[in-house]
Amino acid sequence: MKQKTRKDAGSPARYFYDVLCAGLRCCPNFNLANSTHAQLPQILIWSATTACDTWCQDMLKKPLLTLLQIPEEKYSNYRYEVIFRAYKWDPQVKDSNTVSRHALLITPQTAQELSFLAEKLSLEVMDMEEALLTKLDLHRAMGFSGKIKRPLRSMESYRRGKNIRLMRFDFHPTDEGWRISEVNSDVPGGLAEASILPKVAGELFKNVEAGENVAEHLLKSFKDKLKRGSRIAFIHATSYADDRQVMQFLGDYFNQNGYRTLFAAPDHIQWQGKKAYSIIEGEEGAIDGLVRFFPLEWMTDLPHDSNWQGYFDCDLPCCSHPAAILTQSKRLPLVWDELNLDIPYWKELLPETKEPKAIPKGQENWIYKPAFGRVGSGISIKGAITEKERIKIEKAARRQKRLWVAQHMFNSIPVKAPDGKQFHACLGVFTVDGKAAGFYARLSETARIDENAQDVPVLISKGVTDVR
Amino acid sequence: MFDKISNVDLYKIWAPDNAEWTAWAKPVLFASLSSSNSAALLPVSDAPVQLDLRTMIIVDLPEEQSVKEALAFAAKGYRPVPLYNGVRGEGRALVHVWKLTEALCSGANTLAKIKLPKDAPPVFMLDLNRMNGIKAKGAYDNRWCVFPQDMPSASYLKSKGISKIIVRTVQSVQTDLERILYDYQKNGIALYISRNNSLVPKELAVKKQSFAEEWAYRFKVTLGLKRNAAGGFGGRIPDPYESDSSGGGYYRFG
Repeated sequence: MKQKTRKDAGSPARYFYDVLCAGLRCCPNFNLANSTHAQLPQILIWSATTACDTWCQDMLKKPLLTLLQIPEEKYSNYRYEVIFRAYKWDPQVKDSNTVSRHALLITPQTAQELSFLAEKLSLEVMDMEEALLTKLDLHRAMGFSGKIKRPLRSMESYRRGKNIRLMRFDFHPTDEGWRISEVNSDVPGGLAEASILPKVAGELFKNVEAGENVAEHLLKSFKDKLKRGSRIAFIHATSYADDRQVMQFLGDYFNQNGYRTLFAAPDHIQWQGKKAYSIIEGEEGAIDGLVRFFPLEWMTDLPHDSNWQGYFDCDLPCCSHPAAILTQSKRLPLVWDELNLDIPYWKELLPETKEPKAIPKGQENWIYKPAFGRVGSGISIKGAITEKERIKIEKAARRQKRLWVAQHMFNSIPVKAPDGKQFHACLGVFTVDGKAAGFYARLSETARIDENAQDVPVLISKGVTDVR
Repeated sequence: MFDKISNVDLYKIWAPDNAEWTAWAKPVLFASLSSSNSAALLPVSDAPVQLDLRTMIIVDLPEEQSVKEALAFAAKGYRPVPLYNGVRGEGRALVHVWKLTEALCSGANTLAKIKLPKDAPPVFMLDLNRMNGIKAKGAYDNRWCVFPQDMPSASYLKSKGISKIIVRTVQSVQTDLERILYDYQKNGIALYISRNNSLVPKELAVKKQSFAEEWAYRFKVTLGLKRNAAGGFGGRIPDPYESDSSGGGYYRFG
């Protein structure tokens, strides 16, 4: 499907029409025949302002993003706050301070547009997952190993509504409008950064607000499935403080809201039938729900006697259920036409994707990505990595073709900071059970947003923004 | 001495914002404290070396001994930088951190009384027991490694005038630290080691791990210390590509 760009639309009137349609789609109860609908005036006003805003931005060729500078005299205290209130336990990586001196400001219209797109994408992801559950023959082409393909066939008890579905879509401002680079379908990080960081940063500026709180959305979804006092296990690689900080944040939040929490490694859970039990000494007993921050494809390396296959076919609410791995593979676009589904938003927003072997050598406008790569690692972007690294990646992609994918490169538009520095931005939008649940952004001086990128709070403008 | 102090204020004593090296201070152990009411002062012994502005110290000693030794160096003019990156465990944890945590609390009382200049050379603090223990079923694996990303680069050290590193420990250098030291040595920083009560640091030559040693290490990690995928540490993350800059083992996801 050909990408329809904003340039095709052309006029403010066309923008107004497009955005009005989007607004009407956002409002599920709207009935066109009912002209007295209370939300109609707001939708019209929102559509008009969004259309005008979008058109003006397009005309000026500017992304809809602004960087705010954390005031120098407040930065030190801000950094301590980020470390302790926002659970940022890795504030320094080698010589780089990972607590950004900036906050990313977006307009309410941008927030609405991204939320709308993420919700549509999320629903398409869940449809694809369900279709892939029955299309076992496609799993090999998606890069799944034999070890993981077998338990994927056993997910008989999987029901979408019984579980908590968390995803994060990574949006990039490009010269063709917003593009997505991926969905973090299995174990998206950045939860504290989306939930607390904007509140910490928001205290420094006037006329801004934090977006949705993803932890609150997760809590609400669990509340619908488990009564207070239930015991939820937070599964992660226990030796890594980087992972514990994510789980600690969420665990503390759930604990404060009446749930019992347990921090555990994946092999601390034993399965009896479809029920989970903790075997941690002193913390033994039944588990009522699971939050997993442990990539599913690593499960295959667990000891055989840990019975890790139990995660795939269990009878308790999970965030996220192993079915999520079906859409985590970057090779998904190579098989989605065989699912017989209508997925217009994915096809519009994800750059063209091909088998690595289909790309002639030396093509600079194509990048290679590992099928199960994380945090931008292993992606070849000329100029953003060394030539040696780029060649190494291209060789690996051609040698292990089922573990890689080639994707058409988009042209990321950098955002200029008040101090003149330019950064490439990646704006993650969380969804929980198909509903937009918060924003999380990373900034990088290169077009590759990887583990060296800085986490940055996302704030939504409410008027003229200024330092408090 | 403090009657009661929050974990943030405790961390600020160990990592004041105006000091050159404290950006590297790890907050993990401090984050697990709600507050400290330790009024005790941690006794400070004598450090085996004198202040040299071109020298960086790495103290790699068991639990609270690392804190005591770091404070001894602080008394000589070095800036202590806690690099403890292990979490508290649930149930039976493999690495005990409570003595270390207590030492950081009472050590803060001691450190607060020492006036150090902004550019005091660093003494990085590690717990020698970080990799000890054998994982058993039901135990909580909170062992951890120090990675190259946890410390300043050789070029940064040199830009700050550091040309010499002394490792203070009781045994041979641990494998994870050895990898970091090799990079420093390769970039022209002189290495010394001071074991036990030896007052004169001896030259230390770290050799590059051979292919066989590398695989032996991984074999040990895989079999002896359990596979990292079980929540433990150190093994290779199953990824089709390993970045040159990874230093072998550091990872993030999500």
